[in-house]
This record gives sequence, C-alpha cells and structure tokens, in this order.
Amino acid sequence: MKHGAPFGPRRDGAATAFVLGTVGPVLVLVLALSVIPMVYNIYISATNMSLYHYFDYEFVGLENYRLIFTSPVSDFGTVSAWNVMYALFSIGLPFIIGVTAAGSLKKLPRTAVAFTLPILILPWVVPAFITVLVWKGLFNYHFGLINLALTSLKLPAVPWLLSRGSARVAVVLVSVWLGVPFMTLLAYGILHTIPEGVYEAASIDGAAPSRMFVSVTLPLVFRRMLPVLVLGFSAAFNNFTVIYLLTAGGPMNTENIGGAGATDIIISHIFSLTLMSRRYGLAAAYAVIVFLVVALVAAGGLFLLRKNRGEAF
Amino acid sequence: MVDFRARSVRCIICLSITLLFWGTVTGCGGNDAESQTDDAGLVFWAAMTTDEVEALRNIADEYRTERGVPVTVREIGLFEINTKLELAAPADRGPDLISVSHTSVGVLSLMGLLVPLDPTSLPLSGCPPDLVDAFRYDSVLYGAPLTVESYGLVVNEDMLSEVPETLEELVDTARRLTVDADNDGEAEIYGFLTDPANFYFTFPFYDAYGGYIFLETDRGAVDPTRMGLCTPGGIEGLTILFDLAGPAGIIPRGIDYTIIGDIFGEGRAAMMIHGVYLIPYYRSLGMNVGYHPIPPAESGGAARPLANLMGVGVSAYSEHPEAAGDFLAYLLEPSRLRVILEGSGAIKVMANPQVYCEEDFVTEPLLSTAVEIAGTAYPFPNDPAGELVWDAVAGAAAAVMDGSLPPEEALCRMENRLEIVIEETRQ
Repeated sequence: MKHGAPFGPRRDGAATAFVLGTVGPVLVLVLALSVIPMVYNIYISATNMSLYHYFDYEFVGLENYRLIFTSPVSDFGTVSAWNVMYALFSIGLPFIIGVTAAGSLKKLPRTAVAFTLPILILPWVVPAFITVLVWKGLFNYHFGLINLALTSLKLPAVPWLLSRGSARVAVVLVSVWLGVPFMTLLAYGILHTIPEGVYEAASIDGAAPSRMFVSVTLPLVFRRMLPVLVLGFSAAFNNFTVIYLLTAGGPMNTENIGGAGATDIIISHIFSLTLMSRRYGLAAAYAVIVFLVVALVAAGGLFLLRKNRGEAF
Repeated sequence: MVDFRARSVRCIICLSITLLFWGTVTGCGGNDAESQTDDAGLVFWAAMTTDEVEALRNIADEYRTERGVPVTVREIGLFEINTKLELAAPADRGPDLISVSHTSVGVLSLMGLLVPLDPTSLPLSGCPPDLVDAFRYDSVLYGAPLTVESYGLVVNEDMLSEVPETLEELVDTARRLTVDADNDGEAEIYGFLTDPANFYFTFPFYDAYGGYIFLETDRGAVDPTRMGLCTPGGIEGLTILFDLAGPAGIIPRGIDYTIIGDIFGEGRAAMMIHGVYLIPYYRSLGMNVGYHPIPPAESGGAARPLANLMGVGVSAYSEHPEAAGDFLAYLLEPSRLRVILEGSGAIKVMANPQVYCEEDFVTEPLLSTAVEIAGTAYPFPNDPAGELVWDAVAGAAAAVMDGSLPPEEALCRMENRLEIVIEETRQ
C-alpha cells in the first residue's frame, strides 16, 4: 500500500462508494419529494386548474401571473407588502432583543447566567403550536388575561385579534416571543468570541456603552449571524403556523371583504386559494413567486457573506 | 490496508443507516386506511357519533346475514372525511360508501369522487323532494339524505313566556329584556343573543327581507355568479343585525357561539338562535327551555334557517358500486333508519319522516317543532362557490358591526368582489 498518496485508485473507489451510499439516497429523496413537485407546481401554475377544471384543465401560459398582478380582486399587493413587513419584524426584533439580552447576560456572574439563561430560552423549548394557542387565549377579547388585566386597571379592552392593526401587532408579538430565545442563545455565544480589546479600544476612543452596542456589538454579531438571519427571514416569510393558529389570516380587510385577511401572508393566502377557493393554478403561481422571493433573499445573503468573508470579525 | 478496511466498514454502516432511514421514511405506507380495504366486502366511512356508528354496525351485521356481504363500518371525523377521501380513494384505499354533507356534493362530484345515484333504485319516496334535491349537483343525484340539521329560536321560558311573532318584535323584546344594572356597558341579562358574523345562524335575517345567497335557477340548482345579498332585502337584514350587535346594540362585541351557549346556560339570556340538539343539556341544568321557528318579518317574509343535511354517497373508486348501491337502498328503508335514530339517543331530525312513530312526538314534545323547522329550512347551496360565502359574509358583517362600513357598502363590496372571483375561477 502506498501511504504517501491520499487518493489511490482503491481509495477513490471507496470514497465514491461512500459518497454515493450516503448522499445518493438523500439526493433521490430530495429529487422525489422536492424537485419533481416543484417542477410540477411550475407546470400547474401555467394551467387553469381549479375545481371547475379538475380534470380538463388547459395550458394558459402566464395568465395566472397576469391575474396576480392585474386582477381587480388580486390580494398580491397588500399580502406581499404585509408579508415582507411581518418577516422583517419577526426576524429583526428578536435579533435586536436577543443581542441586547445576550450583552446583559455577558455582564452577569456565571452563576447568575446559569440561572437566567435556561429561563430565557424556555419559550423555545415549548412546541410552537402550543405557545401560539396559549397566546391566542391570552389575546381573547372577553376572557383573555391581557384584557382582563387592562380592564382591572380601568383601561379599555383591546380587540387584539378583531381589528386589523392590533391583530398585526399580535402576530408580530408572538413571532418575536418565539424568536428571541434562539437569537439570545446564539448572540450570547458569538459575544464571547469578540475580543475584549475591541471594546477597550472603543472605550479609549470615548464611546459610551450605548454607542459601543450600536457601533461595535450589533454590527459584529450581525455579520456572524447573517446566515442565520437569512434562513430566519425565509422561515418567517413562510411562517404558516403562527398566522394560521393565531388569526387564521383574519380579521377581514374592509378594503377587500371576502379576500385575504389583514394578517394573511402569502403562504396562508395560498392555503386559502387551494383549500377554500380551490384555484390550484393561481395558488401554484403564488407558490412560484414565494420560491423566487426566498431564493433571491438567500442569494442576497450568500452574496453578503462572500463579500464579508475575510474580515476580522 | 487496515485503514481502508475500517473505512469500508464505516461506509457499509453508514449506507445501512441511510437505507434504513430511507426505508423508514418511504416504506411507512401501511397506514390505517390500508387495513380497511376488504376485497370480500364493503367499507363504509361514517361521520356519525359513536352510538350511531354502533347502530350502523348492527344494520351491517343484519345485511351480512341476509345477503352474505360483509360491511365494515369505520368512524371518521366529519371535518377530515372529505380530505381523507380525496387522498385515499384514488390510491384504492378509500371506502365504498361514505357519509357526505350535502354542501360537499358539488366539490366531491367535480373531483370525480362520487358516482351518480339512480333515485328510482333508492327508497326515497318518503323524503321531501327539496331534501333529495339538496344532494343533486348539475341535476345529478350524488347522495341520499339521512338527517337534517337546522336551528330555531331557543327560549328560556322562565324569562320569556310569549315568543315574539315577528323579527321586529324580537328586536324590541330583546332590547326590553336586556339589563345593564351597573351601567358598565356590558349587560348582565341579555334579551337575545346570536353571533352577527356567523352567517349560518344569521341567514334568516337576510332571508326574511328578500336577500338570498345565489339566484336559484332550477330545483336545487343555483347560478353562483348572481348573488343576492347586495339587495334591499340583504341590506335590510344586515341593518337589523347592526341594530342588535352594533355599537348601540345589545349583543356584546366579539361574541361567538361558545360564549353564547355559556351565557344561556347561566340563565342570563332569554333567547338565542341555536340547534335543537343542545336542549337536553339545558334541561339537565334544570332550565325550562322552548324551541320555536324563527319568526317572520313584519312584512310576512319567512325567516328560513339554513339546513345542513347529512347523507350517504358511493365512492367513484369503489370496486363494488352495485353492491354499495344495494346496501344504501337497504339502509334507507325507514325501519333500518329507525335503528340509527334509536341508537343516537338525541333529538334527531331524519330526512324521511316515515322513520318516526307517534310515540316519538309524545316522548319529545319539541321533536314536532324540530321536524317542522327542518321541513321549511333552506339547504345551503352545494355549489363549490358556496364555500367562499361563509368567510365573505362574516367579514362584511364584522366590518358593519365595528362601524367600519355601512351595511350597503359592506355587502356590495363583498358581493362585487366575490362575483369576480367566482367568474375567474370558473374560466
């Protein structure tokens, strides 16, 4: 056996077999469960498939995309604008809160951290759907703990899930609640990798603690967490669980009664189009758009990552 | 060499684990539906209560004894039965017979999941024709009715001895009986309760003044592109509801039927719109409860409640459609439907009145009212577009109740939009 060469002919064969044996089945699965349905979805998006054309659907080209962008009853504009806003808040607020909390934790003694950190990450441990249902109860107009507390303080009850603005605040609040523990944990780990010298230098330059947080901590943690934030944005963009369980997309928008609800995001709107309206072609076209948006965000994230590669922190 | 062997062993272990994982993921096809398929007999998916399913099993046993064909009855939840059928039937794992709500007939027939039934081969002569027509889509019969669910005016007779004779009188009585002793804006006693955004229960208000869902074109058939809520009748109906549940009304904001049921059970509401099935529960609380048809409008317009019918259809994927049809005809005989009625132990309205005997009406005095109401109720249109109406009207009503829009604008906006959506979907 020739020891010096890392890849002799036999080793090449073994490595290939290893790669094929491990990655191959996964590739086949991904192909069967993701790629083929995606291609089929693109095809359906170019047909008029609906309940009325369940078997006799026809190729209609880009008609569904035209409807999405030009139909007088299309909800694309309002839903997508809210979807982007929701995703940004759902990922941005937990990031800022998480980094702030991690910064505070770092200043605590180890014993205090050992006690505080598990409590902070507790919401992460509870399954998300249970958390959402608990919040739904808390937001109940008549019996929810939040309104009971408000009325006991002689304050007016808030129609949390009944009016457009407060329902949007409620879904963002729940998403933030679910996102903060993960961000805190991650930021806490990252903060330990930032050398103290950076802060000392900033301090010598006369930076106040708030300035250090904004100009040193946040950018450094942001750079390290960029892949997580990109993935998180994609997940938040498609966060069906929170929307569906908390508001089911409602309450109704007065501008488009009978259309998408005030908290509907594209994925929950697709759900309604598929299972309520049964407009399969149109729903598939929406799904293609979601795919493109998420792909663009991921590509943008990758670009930023590559651009920042090689920087010190 | 040793290194290579070790690598090979690791490779084989990894491969085995991966294949095992793959097999676990892809090979778990043995779901419970698979075990249901019985080539030797029929399979019936029943969306009924456990007691009714037991009664149905007894009928199936009799059928097996008489005709030699076994029928396996499986209890499936009403809300999941259509989805399961959509997935299981094309994979040959579905049933031969299935419980269907009449409102699903349009969807299921367009999906090719139900076979047309020959009404002459089924003992349906005792059923009112409207109830049979509710199971027709495009003039073709896809199901046979078993039971009718509807609702009426449930009255706490300890609080109200005389039932209002018109809807206008109902509103006045409701206002008179509502008491907010501590003036905190939330009443302690309510004269009348309903959920203004729940179109199933509020339809009589629209109907009484001439509003309608879709224009009727034929027996049980409708034109879903012509709605009738943005009409003077529909607007009048929503205006009355606004008087009851708007900012100056007596019905509290955000109320739903869970809360309404609780308030009524506490003896704090004189009237509510609800189904008859809850009455035994209120009686068990010691309440004196009456059940009446919803009164008509002063102008004489009938305030028909909506009806939801449960029936039985035959799967288009059944390998034994003739045998399934034979069992359905066997089941629909009034004597056998009576087994289900007795098994249910509830106040149940059967689609075929021949199922009842005189004693039933003596034992349960409210049964005659329930049957009368079901006979005049309006079966919700089974066109698939009907599914869009529930949320849309709920949205329009909610916008009116919170003062965002006047009734006319809310209903017309909703209707104009829905008509375009339905038109686009049908193209």
